[in-house]
Amino acid sequence: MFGQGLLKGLGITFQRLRRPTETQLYPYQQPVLPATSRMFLAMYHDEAGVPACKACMTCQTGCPDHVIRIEKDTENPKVPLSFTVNSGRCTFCGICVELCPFSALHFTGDFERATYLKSDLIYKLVDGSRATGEGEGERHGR
Amino acid sequence: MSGLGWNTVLWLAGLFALMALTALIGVYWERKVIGHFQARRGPLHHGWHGLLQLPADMVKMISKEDVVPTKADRMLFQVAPMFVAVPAFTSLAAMTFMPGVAFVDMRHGLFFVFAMQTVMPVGFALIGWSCDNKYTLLGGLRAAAQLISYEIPMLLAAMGVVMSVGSMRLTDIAQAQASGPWFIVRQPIGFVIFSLAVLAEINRTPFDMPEAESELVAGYHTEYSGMKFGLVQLAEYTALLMGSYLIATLFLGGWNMPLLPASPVWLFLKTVLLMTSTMWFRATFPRLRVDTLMEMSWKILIPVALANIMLVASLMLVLPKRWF
Repeated sequence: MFGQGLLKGLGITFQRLRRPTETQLYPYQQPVLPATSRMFLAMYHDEAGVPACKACMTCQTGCPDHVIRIEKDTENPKVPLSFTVNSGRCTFCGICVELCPFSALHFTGDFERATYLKSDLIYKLVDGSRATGEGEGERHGR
Repeated sequence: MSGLGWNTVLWLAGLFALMALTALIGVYWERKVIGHFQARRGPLHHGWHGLLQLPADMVKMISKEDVVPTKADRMLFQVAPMFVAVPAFTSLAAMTFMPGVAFVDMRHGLFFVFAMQTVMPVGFALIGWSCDNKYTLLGGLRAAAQLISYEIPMLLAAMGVVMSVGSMRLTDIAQAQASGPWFIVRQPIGFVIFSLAVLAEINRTPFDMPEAESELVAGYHTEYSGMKFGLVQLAEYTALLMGSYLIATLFLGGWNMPLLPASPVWLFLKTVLLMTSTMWFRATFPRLRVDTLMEMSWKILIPVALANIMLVASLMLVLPKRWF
């Protein structure tokens, strides 16, 4: 019949109307991210706030983008005095997490770190041998 | 109508409010409806379901800079939107909402509406010409050609209804459908032709050749900004309202509803439903080519509309008066 295609097309769009929308309401609803998603770095630490990092420098030397910078305590070389991450340079490749022999580093689900200043992208995971807890966020994955 | 009484002023204010609200709510409703047809959400962020988008859009349009291209014909450029907006607004005067409830219950209401709509292509052509821009010129000429071509089948399809009612008064046409079946049942061919022609008259997809974004930027109103663009848009949405109102009155019984008391609410619902269905078409159909558009009018719609008139005339002779 002539015009059958037109009616079929109208039917298809009408079905779309009844179907739930595909739009992700991002600022209002957090997206469900896969568990393997790589976002901002964080450091494991014990209850006293002592970081799991032993300042072995493996991640600093292994990082292809020179993101990580560790300062050792000269008297106690197994304690990091500061652990700085320049996330503006980070490509989230995950090499540091894989390299760490103490499994001190991990990725969090936090990705909302847009800043006005470049310098705000630099954050410290360890400051004065205490873990700052920075980067510890809820993982929104399954 | 004697003198300029309060009654007249109130009616004019009401009709103007109707026109402004149609354009405002029409834009919002269109964005929302088309969004949902495409599995999106439409406006969402400001106010409840993005409802504050309406005043925001209005303020934006009013406060925008009014740019006049250097090489444009200044006088025509300023005046041309009026040639579109004024006939659109004037045609609203013929609207009847119930027997006795009308600004002017014209004896030739239908004729008046068509006459006003005939002025609009002049405005579109003027807009296209005045900008000194090839896109607007093409858009304006296309609009003029399209509107003139589709007026003929529209008039011929409406003629079937006028013949069987024996009046051009919109009140009489709607009242003729109060007891008998609606004209969509009595003259289905006329209904299809009239709806298609109205869709083309108001420049809506699939007949929106004058504004074909993929070819003509935005068609005849490419160079317009600020409130002048607002006027053109106002006219377009008013034409959409008027087209839907005409289909509702001529073919869908106007304010009548079977088994229920007659009320302007039915007319309103039918008009809104028809306006929404034009948005449904916009979300579904791709636009026609210019030559196929013209072919459809001159080679299909006009001959079929003429045949429809013959059919109606012969049926009027054969069938009892109650049916035709």
